[in-house]
Amino acid sequence: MLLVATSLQAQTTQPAANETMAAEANVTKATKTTKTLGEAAPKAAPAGKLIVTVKSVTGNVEKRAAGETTWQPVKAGDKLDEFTILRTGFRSSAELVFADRGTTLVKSITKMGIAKFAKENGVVRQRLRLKYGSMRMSVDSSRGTIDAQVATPVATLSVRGSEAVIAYSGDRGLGLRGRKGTWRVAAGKRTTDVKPGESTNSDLASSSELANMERSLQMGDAYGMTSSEIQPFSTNRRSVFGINLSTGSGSGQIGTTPSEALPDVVKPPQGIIPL
Amino acid sequence: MLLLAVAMLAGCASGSLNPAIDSPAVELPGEESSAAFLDRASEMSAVSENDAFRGILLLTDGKDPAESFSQRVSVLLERKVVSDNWTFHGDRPITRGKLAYMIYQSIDMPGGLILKLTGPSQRYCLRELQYKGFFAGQTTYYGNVSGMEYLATINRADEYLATGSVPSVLSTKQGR
Repeated sequence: MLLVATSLQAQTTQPAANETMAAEANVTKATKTTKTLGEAAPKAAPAGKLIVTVKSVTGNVEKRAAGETTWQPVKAGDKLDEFTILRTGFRSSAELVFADRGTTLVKSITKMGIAKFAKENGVVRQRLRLKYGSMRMSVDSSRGTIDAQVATPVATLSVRGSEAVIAYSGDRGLGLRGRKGTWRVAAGKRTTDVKPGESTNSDLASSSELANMERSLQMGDAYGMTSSEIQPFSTNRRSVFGINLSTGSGSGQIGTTPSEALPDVVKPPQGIIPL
Repeated sequence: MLLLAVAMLAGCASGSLNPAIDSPAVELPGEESSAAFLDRASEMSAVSENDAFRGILLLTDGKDPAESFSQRVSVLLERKVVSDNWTFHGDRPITRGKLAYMIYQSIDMPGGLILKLTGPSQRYCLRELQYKGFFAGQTTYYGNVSGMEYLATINRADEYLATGSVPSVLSTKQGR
């Protein structure tokens, strides 16, 4: 299922059904970088479209743009379009600057895609997709309304001005830790709000429940895995926001082209999505 | 008496100098970047020993210097990341216990009493890593490892090597 987290800082109402998806993230300083791009004002983009710039790269980071079949190394200063997919290797990271609306630090062993990043009707909308790995996302609403969403295989996170660390692992599912603002997490029909310092997982457990889970760790037994543990281990081929991130051999596919209309509303599927 | 018994049991675990190695039908793509390898692994329903060994070498060295499965086995045997008690089949799915053993040996994690007395074993390496949040609980050491589970586990190992701990958002302790 898709996990959508939404920040509730700027607005309390949910986005209208016909709103297209785009958002920016505020810049978050990377802890370690080998190549950095000096601060530069984003140049003007075609109407609606906003620019995603790679501020810094560490280690092995690759990108595949819409319509391309090969992966290219990412370097500081690269401009990324919608439907670009990034993947990182061991001890690698890339810091992405979403115009003047924030940054996202894509951490190691991560694969994510930029489904949408544009300004429409005065609202900047950002839609990211996380297949595996983790990223630290910071959304800056000080310069205008932002509607940001991150989709994972189990839920969707949406935010309009906050910061959080988001992770998805094939065995444990979603991991979200709020740092600033409030994130709304939607998994199927269920939602929860994650405030600064709070965490949640695929089951939308509260921070206190997560603390109990850490204390009462279930170790292995002779009966093998439970059905809930087996379920995430199938293939991960979900298409979200028009991006199909299944790329076993690295070829992958883009579920839609920029000219195709994106779904107005992402309806999280019921139950657990086979990975 | 107890120490003598433990020492005897540990001594019984010595393996062969020339473990059996069954090469895979198709070798892995050469000069594969770590990002490409991880992406390819994410699609696997069961990770093979050949791929698992490559991942361990990428984790520790940043590259896979071996050109064949046999070479990977030799490199890992030399480093004691794999045990000379094992048999090696390139196409066979890696088990959770073997993966735990390799990760435990690769990240130089201090273990508990049993591990210190008897040395690493698949069962107790898995239990130790379950306790530390690397592996999900309630799993057996002889089970296969899917690609996404492999990625998740080796991601925790990568974070552990970089920071000395596993972030809570990745740890299995707070998982489903």
